[in-house]
Amino acid sequence: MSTTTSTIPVYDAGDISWVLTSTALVWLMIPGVGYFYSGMSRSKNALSLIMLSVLSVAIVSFQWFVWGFSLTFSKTSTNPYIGDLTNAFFRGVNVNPSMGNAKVPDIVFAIYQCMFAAITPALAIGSAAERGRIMPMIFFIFVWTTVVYDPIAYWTWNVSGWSAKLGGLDFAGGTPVHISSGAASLAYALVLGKRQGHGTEEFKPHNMANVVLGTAFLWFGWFGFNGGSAVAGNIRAAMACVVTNLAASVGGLTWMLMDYRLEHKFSALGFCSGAVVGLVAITPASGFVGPASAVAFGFIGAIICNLACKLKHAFNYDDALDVFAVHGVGGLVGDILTGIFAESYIAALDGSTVINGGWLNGNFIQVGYQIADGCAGMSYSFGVTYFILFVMDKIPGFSLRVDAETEIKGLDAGEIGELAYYHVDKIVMVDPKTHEPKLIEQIHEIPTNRVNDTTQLNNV
Amino acid sequence: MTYGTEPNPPHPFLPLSKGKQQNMASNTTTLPTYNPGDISWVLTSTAFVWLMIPGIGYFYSGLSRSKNALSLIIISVLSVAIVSVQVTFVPFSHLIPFDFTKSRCVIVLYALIDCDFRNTLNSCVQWFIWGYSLTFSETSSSPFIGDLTNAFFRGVNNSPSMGNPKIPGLAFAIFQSMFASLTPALAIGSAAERGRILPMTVFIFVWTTIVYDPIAYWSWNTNGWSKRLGGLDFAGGTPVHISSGAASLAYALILGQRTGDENDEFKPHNMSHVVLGTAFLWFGWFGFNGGSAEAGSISAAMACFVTNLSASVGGLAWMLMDYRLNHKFSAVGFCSGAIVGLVTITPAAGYVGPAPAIVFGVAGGIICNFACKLKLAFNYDDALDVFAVHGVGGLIGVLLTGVFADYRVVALDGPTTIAGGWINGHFIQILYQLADGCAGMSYSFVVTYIILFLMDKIPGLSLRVDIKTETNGIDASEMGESAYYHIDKLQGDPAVTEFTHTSS
Repeated sequence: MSTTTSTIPVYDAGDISWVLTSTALVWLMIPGVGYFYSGMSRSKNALSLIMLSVLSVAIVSFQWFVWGFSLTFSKTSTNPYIGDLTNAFFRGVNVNPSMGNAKVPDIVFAIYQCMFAAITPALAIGSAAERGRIMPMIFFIFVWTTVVYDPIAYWTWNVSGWSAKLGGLDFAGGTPVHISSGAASLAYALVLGKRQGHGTEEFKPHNMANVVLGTAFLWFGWFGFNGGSAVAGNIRAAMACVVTNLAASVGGLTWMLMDYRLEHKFSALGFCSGAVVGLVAITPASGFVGPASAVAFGFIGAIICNLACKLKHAFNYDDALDVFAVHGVGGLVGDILTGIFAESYIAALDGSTVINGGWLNGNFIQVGYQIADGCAGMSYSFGVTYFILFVMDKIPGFSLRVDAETEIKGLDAGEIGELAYYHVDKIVMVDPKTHEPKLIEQIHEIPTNRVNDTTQLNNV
Repeated sequence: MTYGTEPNPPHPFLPLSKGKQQNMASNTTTLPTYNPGDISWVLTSTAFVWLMIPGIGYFYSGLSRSKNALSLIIISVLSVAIVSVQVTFVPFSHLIPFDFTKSRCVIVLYALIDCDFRNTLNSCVQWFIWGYSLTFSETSSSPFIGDLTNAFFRGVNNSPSMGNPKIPGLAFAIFQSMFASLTPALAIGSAAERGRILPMTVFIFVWTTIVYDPIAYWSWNTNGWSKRLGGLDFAGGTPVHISSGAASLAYALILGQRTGDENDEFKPHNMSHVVLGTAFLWFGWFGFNGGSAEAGSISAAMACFVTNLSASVGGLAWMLMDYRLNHKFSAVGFCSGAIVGLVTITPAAGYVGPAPAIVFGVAGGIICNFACKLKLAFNYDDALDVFAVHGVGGLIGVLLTGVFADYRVVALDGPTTIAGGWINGHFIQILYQLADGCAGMSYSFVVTYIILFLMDKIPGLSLRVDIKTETNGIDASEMGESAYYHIDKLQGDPAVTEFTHTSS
């Protein structure tokens, strides 16, 4: 390999610097998802949800190296659906200009995109919370990211992908990340079935501090998720950061106010959920819309997704952490709104991108492309995920759901052998009316591999 | 003009060399120009590495018992402060009004914020006073230690840095300051649960001066013997990990075993914090390894990639090794393995390609998992396995660098080149690595042991707390606070209920 400098293209350190920063920022979103989900579940499953998010990074990082990057972003494939294996094991991934932006080399783009691939399954497995076995989940993550994420990302972001060729606009992953994970989580929830006690017991978040911590990591990291998707340090990246923050803010306030009208309380869970919905909705649009439009994304996304949370009651499935309502529905809302609010002058802020825009540019067909992109992603992800899980469940040793006794004692003790909070004897809640502490959960000191009498584990 | 008799007075940040003075009135031809992208990435990395330090704190804190939780979080941030700030430690309870009517969690927060605040105000004290100079002075010719030319940051300005001429000295200095701050925070993990805080703070200042600064000089100063020999250490396998691991072993041996009764299980009390700490560490390591390229360059990107891959594989490897024993997916195992993967890839990050990163992670995960048994075999109490993870892991990484370093990876950026490792046919490299690693480990161990041995003899600086303090917990006895005021009764620690019992 020649080592003369004349054969290596010259890149701007500022572009590389911003993309690498964004890489780390998106990395931090993944434990953010973990803490968010963990805080929303019951304490006996707290550690499992934190762990699974970080586990997803590990599995997908490895898969991305082996063939994930190649299947998604190989430059030599010409079919519209999936890449080839030219870059498997990262062969040839180094100094050449990347597909995402010619100003940035392949290796930078590859490590950045690895984080997108890593976060998507972490979102999807939220619906398996509190009753999914970890071992099949590990296997599922590897298979799913190969067979579902990589194709959908190829369609949207590879220059040969059918959606990109059609003209579908997806800046930072409304379809590959949110719609696909939301649909997959719906499939997982349906295959697993409802948690024990669903419908009779009240499942409440056990640790709101962790929910807010997770939201903070997510919102912080999303500057890298959307801003970094400009794959350069330019004004378009800055605009993406602006609209991201604005959509999150408006989304949080809207959801919180929607809940306020019901209970006259400023729900923290509502604010956090709304902020995440705003971030989800603005994701496909972040490099295409201006600030005023961002307000619409946050507002409309929060209202629709707040109502979408009722779907699980209407259709009687147990989406434990509302992943489908927030990511699936939120992603679709964002996709469609992109078709309305995209503006060509925003895309042109990087000096080179030319799009036809959306309704605001008079390009009414754009919504059609967005619907095609979003619906294809949602149905493909749902169908293939359901198939994968259905088949896995039949294989001996890969059954997806824990047995009833493990579910009652909790995944932390049953699957991990450790608890999240050894230092806490019991979790109490102070009754707001009587100011009396009320026992929520009695946590026992669990010696390794043994569990105390399960009848003492109570939920309200 | 307002300045006085001289028409062009010297600017305070001029280079110390007797070169041309900056002419304020004329153009800036004497000032080197830098790419803002390079400076931007190094400053971002500085902040990322800073965050690793509370990450260590939360990781160690979560692994220990709840009565010592706060001490471990605080000591990590204290390490930043001391290496940066020259103040004698004063127990926090004397500084903060103790108001029982407010939530006591606020007082804990005051302690943390106060420490961070002071650190920010007084940035870079030991490093400022002489640390940077002893490590990176450009005028010293000794192979072992720098001189004091840059003491008090004189002459640290916009001249091209020693690390990479693409960035100015000041950016390099603040970036390296974080490495110096992180290293003692790692080392004192082995003193967990039984080490007195006051001697620990003195120790940190002394140790970083006579152990960290020389070892870093050897590896990173152009006049250092290891660098001249050709030893490869990208982001600090020897200065940071081997030195802290060896030091922690010495500290554990001097302090002795922790006292425990039959009820103490020495288990992690807060796994949520363990994972939080791991998340901060992994996140920050993008800056630790990626930033060590000291430019927004392709090797920075490659370093980020191999770092992430090694951590992922290391976490899976350790977790699977634990799985074969008790058929559970241990979170402690995953987190420890991820950190080991990060440690092993550290010396190699900018020198190896993607595929070898897997070897680093797997080797680290497996070997360090076994290394945790050393403390049982040799009967010392390395409470948080700092030697097994950082000492042994660092050595593995340094040696594997000699195998997998590839000049073709370095050539991706153009100008600088190395001779490479085994895979380039350069077989002697591993000996340079062995020399570098062993020298660092033995020097750190011996000098640390001597420092601690002498300190223990000095009245007032005895290292270990007494039995009663140890039973009550460091938080209550040394800090006068608890980490968890909001918990009514801490599981398994009846001694602390007096502090946590909420006033009704």
